[in-house]
Amino acid sequence: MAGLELLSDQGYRVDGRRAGELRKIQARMGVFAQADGSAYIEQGNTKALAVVYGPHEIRGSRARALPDRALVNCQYSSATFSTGERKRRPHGDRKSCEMGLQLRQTFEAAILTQLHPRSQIDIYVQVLQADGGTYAACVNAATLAVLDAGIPMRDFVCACSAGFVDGTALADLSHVEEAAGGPQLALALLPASGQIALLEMDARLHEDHLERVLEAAAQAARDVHTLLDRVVRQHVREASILLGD
Amino acid sequence: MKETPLSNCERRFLLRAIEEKKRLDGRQTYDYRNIRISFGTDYGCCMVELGKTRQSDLLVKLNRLLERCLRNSKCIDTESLCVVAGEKVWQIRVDLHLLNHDGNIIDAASIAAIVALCHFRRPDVSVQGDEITLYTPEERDPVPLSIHHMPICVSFAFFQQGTYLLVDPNEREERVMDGLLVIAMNKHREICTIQSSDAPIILSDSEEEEMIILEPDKNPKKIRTQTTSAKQEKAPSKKPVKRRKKKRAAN
Repeated sequence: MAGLELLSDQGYRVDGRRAGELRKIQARMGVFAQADGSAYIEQGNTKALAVVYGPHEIRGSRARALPDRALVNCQYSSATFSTGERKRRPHGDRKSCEMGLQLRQTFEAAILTQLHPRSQIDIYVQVLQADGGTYAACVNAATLAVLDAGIPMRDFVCACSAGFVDGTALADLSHVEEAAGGPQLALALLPASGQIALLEMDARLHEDHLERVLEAAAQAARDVHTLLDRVVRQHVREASILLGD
Repeated sequence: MKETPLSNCERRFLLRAIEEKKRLDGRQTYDYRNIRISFGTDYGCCMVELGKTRQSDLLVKLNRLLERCLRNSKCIDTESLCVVAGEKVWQIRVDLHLLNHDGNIIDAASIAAIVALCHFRRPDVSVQGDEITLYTPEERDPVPLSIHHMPICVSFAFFQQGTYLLVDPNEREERVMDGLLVIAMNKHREICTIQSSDAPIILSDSEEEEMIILEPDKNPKKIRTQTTSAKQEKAPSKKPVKRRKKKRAAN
């Protein structure tokens, strides 16, 4: 811990942000022409790509088809060059499986699956550069991709991570802050209704501080929502100009 | 063997009962089932019964949750496992076998893991210059692991988008539940892990407080007394019993 101060006395973090400040977010929809929906997001130095196929007929065993809803299938993969040291196994390891399950859980809550019974929606997320907040970047990218594919959703799903250092809640952790070993919270929110699609927390945090950290994460997720909303509107405007409306 | 599907009548019956704050086995909303912890003849072997819990395929989730709960919360002092800095260290592995699933395997698994870690004794080792001596249990008493705190998971099942809340769902309740929230806490009122599953929930402040107040009362005291009484017994025989805990010195 010597030498690295996560929060200075003046309230600045390692990369010069304030406690509740998000990293710069840039996003693009419709990155690939072949897939039904795709999106690319950069959150600071974390870069994620999401691709959506569907709704289409169930691949593989028909027995898995649900009679009243669509099946949401998520796969997470992080590129071998995404971390500081080259990763040996991009997919199939336990962490990727868990991420895939978490993404599936998040999107089953948001997508209106009742409108597409007996079909399947595939969401593939690829992390190109991991600098902290990979789950949040994946969820945000996947939301944009699902919107790009035209699949009806209950609401945006916006995610952000939060931490707690020296009595202050930090929003949107970078890799340095995550590696320091303090408590980390990942939150996926449906902003309009305030429903939490996924809540996950690691490491020890006293219960008195939980509320503050949750509030910081929720506020950050709402800020992300504002940004994503702007991106979607911009994309629709460009598309309608091209169509000559 | 495929699970028998839950009929719509049974689903409706369970949901109606929950709305009227009644549970099938007669428990109250915040009541836990009886926990029975028994220890094997070998150090580190422990069996937990929570009702009658059986095996299923939430294994990836359970695995990661326990990893995060036990490893990231730093409940074991890993520095004390070092034998020679930079060369030799003890490696601890926890093997969990699920025998029966009657709902809420997460809580049972977390209790079993932490109790087995508390019960376990590793062989004593002494280092003199370059010479490392490993003592057998006959020569010197085996040494317990140094455990900072005991995180215990408690599961809350949600029904009707978070309107109704139940603690320790049994198998039937798990099938009809909308979502699950697992909170792991220790007796110092520190939250070690939170994990929400399956359904969106609205966490209102009062619900949060209720859940967190219930936590420390649940298990730590009961488990502590059982563990201390087990610590005082020594392994009676040396016959090779199936080890629940494996250890190796990593070279």
